Amino acid sequence: MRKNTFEWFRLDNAAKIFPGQNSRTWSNVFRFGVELKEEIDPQLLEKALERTLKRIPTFNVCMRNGFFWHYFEKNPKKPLVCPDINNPCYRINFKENNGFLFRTYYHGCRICVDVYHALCDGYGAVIFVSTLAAEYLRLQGHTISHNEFVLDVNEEPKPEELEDSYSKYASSKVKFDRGDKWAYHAKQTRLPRHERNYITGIMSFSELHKIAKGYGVTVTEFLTAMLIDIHYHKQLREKKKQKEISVQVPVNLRKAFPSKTLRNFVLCLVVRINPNLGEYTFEEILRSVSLQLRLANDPKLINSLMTDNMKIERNPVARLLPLPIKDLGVAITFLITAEQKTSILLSNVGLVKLPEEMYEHVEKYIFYTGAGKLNGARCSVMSTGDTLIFGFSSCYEETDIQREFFTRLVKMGIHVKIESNRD
Amino acid sequence: MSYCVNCGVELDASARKCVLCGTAVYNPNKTESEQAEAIHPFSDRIHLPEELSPYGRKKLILAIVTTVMTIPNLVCILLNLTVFKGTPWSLGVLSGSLFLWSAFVLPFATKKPHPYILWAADSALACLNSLTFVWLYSDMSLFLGCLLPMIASCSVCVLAYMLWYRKKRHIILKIAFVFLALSLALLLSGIILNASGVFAYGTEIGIICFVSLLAVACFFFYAYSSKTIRRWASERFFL
Repeated sequence: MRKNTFEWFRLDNAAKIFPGQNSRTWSNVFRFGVELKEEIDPQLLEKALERTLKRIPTFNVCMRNGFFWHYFEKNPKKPLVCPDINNPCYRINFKENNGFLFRTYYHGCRICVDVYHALCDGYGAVIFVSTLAAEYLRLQGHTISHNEFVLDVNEEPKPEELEDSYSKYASSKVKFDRGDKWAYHAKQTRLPRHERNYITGIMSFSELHKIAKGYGVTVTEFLTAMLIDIHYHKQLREKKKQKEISVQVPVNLRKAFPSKTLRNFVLCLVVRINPNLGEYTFEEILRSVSLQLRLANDPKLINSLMTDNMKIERNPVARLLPLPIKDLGVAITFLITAEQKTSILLSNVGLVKLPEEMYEHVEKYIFYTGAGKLNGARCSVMSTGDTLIFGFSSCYEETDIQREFFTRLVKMGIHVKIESNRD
Repeated sequence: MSYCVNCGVELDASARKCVLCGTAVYNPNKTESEQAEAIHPFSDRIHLPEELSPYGRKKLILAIVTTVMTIPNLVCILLNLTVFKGTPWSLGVLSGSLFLWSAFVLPFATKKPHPYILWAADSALACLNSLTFVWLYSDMSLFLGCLLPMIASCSVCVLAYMLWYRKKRHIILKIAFVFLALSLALLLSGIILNASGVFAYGTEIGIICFVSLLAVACFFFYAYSSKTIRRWASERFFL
């Protein structure tokens, strides 16, 4: 038997919530993909996938129900590679897809992977997709080296990549006050069940960075402020009681803590604007967002939030409750709170640095968060080289938020190319 | 390379309209076949996953419920045969259990029973169940004067609700009509109980139930007509 192989392991703190949130129509699934310059050969992709799974065993699992908790078990079956679909990120069922919690698709020059959030966060998924693409290219006969995002498939999996970093680093003694309130939702006409509206804007990172720098903020802060401003004006036009507009911004905790895990290690910071406080200009929103994000992005504060999340998991009474009761509790809490308290989600994976030889084969990356149940906009950002992609996922038919967002960028002088699943 | 004249964004080579504003793409430098050849970034295959049943592990639950319901019946039959001999009272228990099982458990065993068949079967089973009791106590007048009219009035209320339900209705309105149908059924039952001489205060209790349930129904009707409450319910419970 290989070293470091495992038969089963526990779900991490963040992953414990996702099975309870699963419903017949919705699961927390996101999509990562890579567009190469040549058409994909599915058989080669299958081989590359098998080799990648050996290196990243956290993906080679199926979900099992224990008496008290869910757990991951090593999946003896073969993963499936299917032609792409028009409605990615549909719900996950633990018995379908040979029990795997991710789905691999190919379409034209694209390799796409729909990942269930219980497996990993965006960072882990980027590494998985990059390693898969690099291995595919290697099988085609190209020479690709390794780096932070492209792992060597001939290496053994490292124990630190499989660890639950939440339980390792959560050590604060201070209770975190979330101060959540019901937030505004840009609700419109719902699409049929399982169908989603995905729109990606492809633009130059340096152009956008230049504009954000002109305002003295980072790209994430600038994009968050733009989304808030659009929602703020939309809510004003609706002439209803004005609610807070809040944006969830997931933060990669690997930057604050010395973790190398490929599983979940992310926490969501919330940025809020209350329209009842008075009229806001874009510059005021930008300043407020920038200050809030910089204030919240403090490792000690994040640790207290992490410890607060761990508290329920460590509670002896909660631990003794059987799994169905835990899942029911999560489902009810999710129904009443969760998305009710956030208007927008903005997930920024950041800059993905590939090995130099890989750039000539990679056209661009693809990243979509799964559409929410209520949110008018769930956005995903990532960049490779000078290409930045901004994805909108929504369960609504209308595209006025997306249109306003991209036309604003165009008016600022940024060249934007649009791709969608619904044209 | 096409650009949207409205939004100013570049569109994909395969796009036939701007996805942001719906403006049709017209590129004089490109023929139709050239546009058709361009690979769309997304596949056009919409994959609708298998609908999952809300009753997971249906058969196991059915078996457990059936076993749990059978045990008291077997005990009653044994007691009737050995200890409390005389009238075959255990038949009453058996008939009651059979009615409950057929009305509430059996529909889950079939995939999608037709609602009118279900309604007719339930009404007939209720009549059969009451007939068993009547046969046990040999009092036919009780069946004709009280039980049959009560079952008939309840069935009519349920049928009226089902006919109204055929169109897609808002959930708050559905709840309001459940209370309305229930209040009418209870009022009619109370009057029948009083008229047949089974229960002297039947009408009074029927009226009390009717008024209180009507008040609850009125509250839901008000909630349905109020935009504020509907919006709150929609935002709070994803209705």
